[in-house]
Amino acid sequence: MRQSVRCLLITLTCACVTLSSSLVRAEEGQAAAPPAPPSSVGLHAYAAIDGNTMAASRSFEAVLGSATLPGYGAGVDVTDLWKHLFVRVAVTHATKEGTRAIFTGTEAVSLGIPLTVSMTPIEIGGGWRFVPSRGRIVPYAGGAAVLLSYKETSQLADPSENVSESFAGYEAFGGAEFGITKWLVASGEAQYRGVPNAIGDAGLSQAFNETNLGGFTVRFTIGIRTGR
Amino acid sequence: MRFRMVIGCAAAIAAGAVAGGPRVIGQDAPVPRPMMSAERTAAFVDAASRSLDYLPGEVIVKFKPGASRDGQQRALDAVRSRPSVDSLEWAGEVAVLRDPLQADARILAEQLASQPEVEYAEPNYLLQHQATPNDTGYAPRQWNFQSLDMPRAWDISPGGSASIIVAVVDTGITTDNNTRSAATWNGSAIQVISVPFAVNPDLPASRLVTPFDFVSGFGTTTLDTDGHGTHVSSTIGEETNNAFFDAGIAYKARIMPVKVCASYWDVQFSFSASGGRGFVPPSAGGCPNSAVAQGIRYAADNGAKVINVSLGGSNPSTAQLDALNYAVGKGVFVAIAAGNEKLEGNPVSFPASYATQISGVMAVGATNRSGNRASYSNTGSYVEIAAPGGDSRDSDAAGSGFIWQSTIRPSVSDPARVLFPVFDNYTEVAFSGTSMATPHVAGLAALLFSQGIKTPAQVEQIIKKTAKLIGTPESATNPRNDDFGFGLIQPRAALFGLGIKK
Repeated sequence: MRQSVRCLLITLTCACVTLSSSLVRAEEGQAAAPPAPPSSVGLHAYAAIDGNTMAASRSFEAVLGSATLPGYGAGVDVTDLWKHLFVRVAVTHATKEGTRAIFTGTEAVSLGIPLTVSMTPIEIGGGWRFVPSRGRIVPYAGGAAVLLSYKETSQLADPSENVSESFAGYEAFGGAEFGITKWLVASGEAQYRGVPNAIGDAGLSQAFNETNLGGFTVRFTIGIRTGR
Repeated sequence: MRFRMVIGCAAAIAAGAVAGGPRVIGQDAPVPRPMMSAERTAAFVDAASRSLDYLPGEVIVKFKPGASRDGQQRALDAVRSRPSVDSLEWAGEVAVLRDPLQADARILAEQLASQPEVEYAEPNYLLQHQATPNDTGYAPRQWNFQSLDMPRAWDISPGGSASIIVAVVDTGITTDNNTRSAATWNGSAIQVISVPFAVNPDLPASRLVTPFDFVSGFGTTTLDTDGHGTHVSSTIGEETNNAFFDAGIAYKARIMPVKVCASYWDVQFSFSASGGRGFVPPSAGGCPNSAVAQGIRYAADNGAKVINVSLGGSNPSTAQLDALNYAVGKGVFVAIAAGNEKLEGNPVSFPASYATQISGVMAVGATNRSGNRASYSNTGSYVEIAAPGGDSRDSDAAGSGFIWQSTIRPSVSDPARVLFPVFDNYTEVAFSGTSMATPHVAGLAALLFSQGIKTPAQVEQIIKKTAKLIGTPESATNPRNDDFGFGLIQPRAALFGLGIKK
């Protein structure tokens, strides 16, 4: 999984660099070429740090001791496709170590068997940037489809006892970009992700009657931007 | 029970046993001291002769908190022999009273219970161990562990930890290699013989801790002259992966032998040493409630985390209930046999029926090799869990449906076969009963404690939650039934636990 995330990051970076250079070339070309309508398409490529608070909080607390998983990743927003519309592709990865447990009916009891939980959501969506006439802060909001790769692995498990599955879901997000310089942008974003019926058929999630593998995410990004 | 057909066979088999068995010291040798007190020996013999389920003339009495010595004495004055407080044999908070003038312990108990200083008084009931022995054939053995997927459970917890002590409150486990003199009846006279004892080679002395004998007077040495306690302890923790005999569940845990049951031989030796002539009744022996209660408290006070009680009877006992509460209060999990009397009217079995009152105590029913309820296994609302106990009705002539473990060899120790027993010869023996099912649960509890589970209540809940229910649940909200409780134990699932999705 780490390798695939690394590949994706490299791909995104390359795409970002290629797009940026083509835009730069386009801008450079404007001086020599006849006047043309300025390109309105921008690019925002970023690295992200996530804090994911899972909707299935009791299940995750029982295994991981907390319902919050830290994550990291990267994404690209192609902005101003039409007015302030943007599209997004992002991938993040969250992983945490815990122990297998049993819910006795009144409490979750750890059995001390190590368990690693990892999630890799791929987000494909878009939204609207509320670009002000002036100022460095650009609020935005949007939604996305999510493809969530979910894994539970334990060293002592038989292959059939591990989990490696993918689930479809959705998310809504909103945040604000802050232009540090012309090129450098930071952003803060809140997401709600829904991945319904992904869990709850067995395991602790069944005991707790929790079915949603989504939750709330707070994301901070830092990246480069072209365009407005 | 197992002693019923004893004497008829004994004469026929004894000659061969003597030839290769113990050295006969002779009738001129000094008679060894009785193993039990003369009063206790006589009580065992009397109980067996009259088919009583209590020791005649003995009651367990608990005085109310704060009852003064004078008050206690006043209460004791209510019985015919007017015993002094000093004559009581104390076992923790309760005392055993012996009244030679009133053999009917039920009357004694009533007399005492009506005194204002007395919290309760009850006959010293005899429990019986819950096994049916069978010594035919060896193979195929230990289907029980295979059906529980124990190899995969051992992948997670290979035999548990030596820091966990499992007490076996039973007929004892032999803790030393010595030959002792004993007096017995040879059919025509009292004869002193040498009786060799040895530790089970597949459960070495290094794994036995703080033994104690509460019934036959050996104190910190325990000797199994029956085989039941050894068989049970072998299921819990027989040495494993040593290419010898059989496997045990928690084979790294240490075992505490707590002898609370007198065997036929314990009674016969004491009877003969006291000058008694003749054979004691075949059913002589049993497990006095007072000793069982003492044994449970002793185990809890001496570091046991798990207690196996493969014993039962049909009489309720507050002393038992108190002892169980005491043990669980000290963080000890207790597994108790649910009883083997399904085909004899299915009476409620004690102390098993107390299990539902105490979180951390479980009553264990038995399954057969086919995974069904064993024909003899008691049913009722107090049955909480099931484990393999074997069944003659689900077996072939080779005994493939029984539970096989190492214990003393019946052919040289069974009173149905020999006049002069030896107890230094071990082999794999087939037993069945809820006695055999119970140590499966005790062994699993030892593995769970080894894995870091803290409380007996948690152990009980984990075992229940991971059990595989057989048959129809009582209701949608109560996934149990009276045959299997919450179902057949699943050691792998209990030890492995759950993830979020699976």
